[in-house]
Amino acid sequence: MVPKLPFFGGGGNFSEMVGSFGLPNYTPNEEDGNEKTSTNGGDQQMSEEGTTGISPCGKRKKRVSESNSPFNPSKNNEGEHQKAISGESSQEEKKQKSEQNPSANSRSKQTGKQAKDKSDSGEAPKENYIHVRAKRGQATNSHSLAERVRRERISERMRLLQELVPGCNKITGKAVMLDEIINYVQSLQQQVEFLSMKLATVNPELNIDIDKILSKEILHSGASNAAIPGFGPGMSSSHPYPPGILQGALSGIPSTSPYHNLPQNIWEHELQSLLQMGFDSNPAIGNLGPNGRSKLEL
Amino acid sequence: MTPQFSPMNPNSIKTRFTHRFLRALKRLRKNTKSPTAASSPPPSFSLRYQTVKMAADASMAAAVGPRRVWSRAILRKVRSRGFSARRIRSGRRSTASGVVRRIRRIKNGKTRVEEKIGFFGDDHRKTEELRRLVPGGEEAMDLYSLLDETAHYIKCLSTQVHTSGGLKSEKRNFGLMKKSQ
Repeated sequence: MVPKLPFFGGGGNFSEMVGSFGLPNYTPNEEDGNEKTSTNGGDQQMSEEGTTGISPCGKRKKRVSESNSPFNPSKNNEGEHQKAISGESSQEEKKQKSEQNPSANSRSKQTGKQAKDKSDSGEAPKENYIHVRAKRGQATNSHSLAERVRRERISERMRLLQELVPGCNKITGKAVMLDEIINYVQSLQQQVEFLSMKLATVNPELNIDIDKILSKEILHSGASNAAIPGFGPGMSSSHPYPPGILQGALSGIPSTSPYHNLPQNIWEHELQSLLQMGFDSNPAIGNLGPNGRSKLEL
Repeated sequence: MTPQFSPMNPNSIKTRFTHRFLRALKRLRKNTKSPTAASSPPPSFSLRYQTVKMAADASMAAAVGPRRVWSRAILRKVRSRGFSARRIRSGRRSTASGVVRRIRRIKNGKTRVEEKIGFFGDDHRKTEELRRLVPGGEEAMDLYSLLDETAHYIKCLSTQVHTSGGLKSEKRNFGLMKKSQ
């Protein structure tokens, strides 16, 4: 998509930026932007990153028609020059910024630039702050390129987390995703607590060789792990095991065998097949009477 | 092929965690079986439970190593707890409450900052909560690193859950078998 920019008013640096593009229709008439340069602290840096930042982006038509020097944000204009390929959030920010600048139709994605501009000039209207969703807690870096890269990395992480957290494939949007992540982490922690509580109950009553448990345990969790949805690509050092291993494991285990008819699925089913007791497999969290129950089952 | 370890990657987090966790449990059992003079003979259930939970977290963190922010945070917590271990054995939970108090102080500090930058919205609140959940999240200021830590933490937590679950079922199995024989 090639949004048309209605106005520049850019700094003198802009000529350098566009010059790198080699745009034919640019006439470097906008010298009034130079006055704005002083107010904008990081214009020089802007131009540098503009050259690097814009070059990978698609070429867009720029109209050097109006200069918005009377209108406050020449900074905004300069922001537009940074044709960044940034994240989804910039879309909304784009629209909201268009309310500000009446002549703006559709902007390029410039939110990183906006954040930088806001941090530079205190004159930016208050609404820009809110709409921009500037990560002000971060280092107020004047490099919009870095901002952009950062945001891309964040969205990439969110995608990874989407794969980790089950059932989050359809969720788009950071807030809901964060909610899901929080819930999942909480539930995992509760599960660990619950299991450790159970282990604490069972623990002192066993006199069994730990190594035996160890070997069997590893095999079992290896088998049960096969059902786990794959962790994120770069993240896991353990990979799901092919079910063929299970047969090998079954043959190898010195068996008091009724307990080793392992289905290959989630360990819940494992437990249910192993124990012919009425043992609830997976965390119904917290509703144990631990001592009583363990005495019942052991 | 030997049934024991062949399918497992010996360096995976799961193996390391399992080893450490089982060793810790063994140690715990030894400690409870031969009650030391410092501890009351049958440690209360809550005490045992907390120790096991701490052992799980600590062995997880140790298996991961100090490569991750959250594992470092857990290790720090464990070590600071170890200093007051005797108080724990006597049943007092001073360190736990001390940790809680410290966390509340941090939380209050952050909420103050949050009110100052009031227009952040839900996003920031949620990241704050995520920071509270993930150990060591308070220090990882960057959202990116926080998400990174969260992802790794989730992975390790699920490893823990599956391992403990399997372990638990194994223990029950053995308990049953012993009874039957």
